[in-house]
Amino acid sequence: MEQVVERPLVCVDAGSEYCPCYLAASGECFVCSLLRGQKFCACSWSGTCSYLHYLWSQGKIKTRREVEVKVMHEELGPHLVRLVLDLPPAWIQELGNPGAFLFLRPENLPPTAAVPVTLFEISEAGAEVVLYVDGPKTRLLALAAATSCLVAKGPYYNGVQGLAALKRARGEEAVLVAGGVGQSATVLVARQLLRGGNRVRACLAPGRAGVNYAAGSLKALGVEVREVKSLRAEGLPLVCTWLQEKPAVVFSAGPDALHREVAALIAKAGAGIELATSQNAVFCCGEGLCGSCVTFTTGGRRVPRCKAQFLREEVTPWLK
Amino acid sequence: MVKMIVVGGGWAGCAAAVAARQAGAEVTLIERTDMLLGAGLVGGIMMNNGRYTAALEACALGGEAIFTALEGIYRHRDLNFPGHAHASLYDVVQVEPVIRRLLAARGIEIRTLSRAVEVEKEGDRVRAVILEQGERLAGDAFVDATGTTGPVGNCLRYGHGCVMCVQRCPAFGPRTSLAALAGGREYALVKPDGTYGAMSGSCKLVKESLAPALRRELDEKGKVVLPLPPDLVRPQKLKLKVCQQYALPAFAENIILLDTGHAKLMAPFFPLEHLRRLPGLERARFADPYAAGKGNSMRLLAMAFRDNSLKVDGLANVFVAGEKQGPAVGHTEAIATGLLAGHNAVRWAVGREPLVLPRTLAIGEIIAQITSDLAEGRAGRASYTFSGAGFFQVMREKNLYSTEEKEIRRRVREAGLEGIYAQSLVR
Repeated sequence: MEQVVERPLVCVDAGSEYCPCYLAASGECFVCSLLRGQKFCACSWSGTCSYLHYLWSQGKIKTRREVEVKVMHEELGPHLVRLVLDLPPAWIQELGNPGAFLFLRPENLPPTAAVPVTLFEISEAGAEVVLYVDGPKTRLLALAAATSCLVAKGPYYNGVQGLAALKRARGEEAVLVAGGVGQSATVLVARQLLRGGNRVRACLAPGRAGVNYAAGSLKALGVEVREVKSLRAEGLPLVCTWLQEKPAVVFSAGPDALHREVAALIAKAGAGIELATSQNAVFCCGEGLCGSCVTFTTGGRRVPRCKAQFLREEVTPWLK
Repeated sequence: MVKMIVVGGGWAGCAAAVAARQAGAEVTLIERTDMLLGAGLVGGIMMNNGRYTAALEACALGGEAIFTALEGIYRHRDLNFPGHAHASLYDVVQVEPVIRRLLAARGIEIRTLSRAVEVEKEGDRVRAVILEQGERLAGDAFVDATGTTGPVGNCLRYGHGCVMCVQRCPAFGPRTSLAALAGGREYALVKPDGTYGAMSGSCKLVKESLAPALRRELDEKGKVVLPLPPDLVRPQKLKLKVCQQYALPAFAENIILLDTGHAKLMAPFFPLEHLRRLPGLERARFADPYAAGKGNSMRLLAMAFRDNSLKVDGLANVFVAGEKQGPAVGHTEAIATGLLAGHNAVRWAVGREPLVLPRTLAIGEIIAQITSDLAEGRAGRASYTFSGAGFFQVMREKNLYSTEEKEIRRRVREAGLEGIYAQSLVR
């Protein structure tokens, strides 16, 4: 009996409260070769066994819940709204890590109207998100938030690629580069890096958000913040000088074009610097089902970006 | 300078590292857990039946370092138990630091908590292995001694689930296969009923949990045989075993305990409530696997296609050892193939023909039989050991079995191979 070993991928939900998911039931789990119908076990190992989870669950799929949440609403600018959500206490714990996000929708609209929003900050006051209003879903959500409760679904975890690199950095230098609404992902990333005893520096530019709304929170945490008007003109040259000090990791938050530029700077600066990025895929269901965030790895495998953490050289195909 | 990377720190990997170092290479041994020896941490049986011959052959070939190191920690020598003669039992509790010191003293770099997850290849050559943490280890040649046990999913599908054995996959991550990551072909043992793999053949009791009289007897004699009540005799359980040399009726009709530091119970698993019905075992509990009342680890699930020099088919510079090289089960088998793989990897790196052991030696014969199985489409249909089942019979029929050191040394000398593993190949 000959075997073929397929390169394993990491799933952010593997072994969590939300494993097994629909992908296990459909034989499409991209982590577990046995759930994909192969004969032998070969996974990237998340610290737990997805096959075991599936067997013990007896085929019952673990899904996320929807809860009704009270909202406090504050306009930060013409298109920018800050929402403070009164979430269940259990969610507050789970949403405190980099990459955490939720789907939010108005009470009276169907799940298709739900907007994926990154957790900006978690505090005793609740969970903060910043909404950039630029399309029908965000506009309807902003209107509803001003007048009534919202429905939140979550928690989801894969808003950041390169989570392992952020966790690995200990007692080193770390750099954040964020433009526009990319700033929303920086605070939880900074918290993680600071927990690891790293010295964190951030370069922020307002971009289309019009304001460096993350600057205050980052400074309060002890991050050295440099605010620039434009990342391209001022920010990246500054980051270039920071890279000379060989930080362990750089977190790029913004459009894919920014990730590409940062990746090129890192490549020039030499080996040993890891890259983590914000996710810019379109998320609709968050469960790996709808196909809106599907990408293909360098090996040609079809994987949903709402769940997959890519291994090192697979981090780039969607940046090309 | 020749740089060798050995992946997997079980008996096979340790032996490969020693042989490669003796041949003059700089050697790094990587191991995913925090201890060397893998299944060797719970085994302990050496020198029984044809393993005596194979061990003396390995020594005559120049691989005596490991066997010499074990001399100090044998708990029992020249022990007979059903179907097995002149066994030596090493102390599984003492063995790891002894072997670790041996390797370190020889200048082998030991990297524990280092799991290989990727390889870097150029054509048919592996250039480097990449560790889980991202570190790249480059080498001229590689030995894959990653074994065939687990991971968890395989134990779930083909066994009774993860039973928390000494491999400790949930804690350190599952084994990976260097050969498979590099694109080499693999196969599994196929049982007659069409299912895959084989269950590890013994479990271990905490000695302190035995009744004092029973424990004394085990300490003094090295073995205890306790007849089972008729309702607990399950001969069908013998078929599960990876170690067919212990699949004899005596092992189904009795509880056979061997003193390896633990009380080694010669059955793949035993329900605790049944076990505790036996006099002296009323308070018994398991040391390995922790859930040996339920099952044991599953093995022989990822063997590589290779030639008689133990070079992996289709890869220029990867050699395999231990169970990775084929279904040859046991410490002695792992050490014997490990020595050859380590030696041959260095030969390849310095541009010399790899060594093929002749069939006038038991080690050469067992390797050649597995090669024939691969060539003739019987991959994974049978397993082998020097110590019993069909291969020990073959050894006797071909007059390969001997316990005479002089005779074995003469055979090795006649093959022109005396001390060959001790010669440096690197200038």
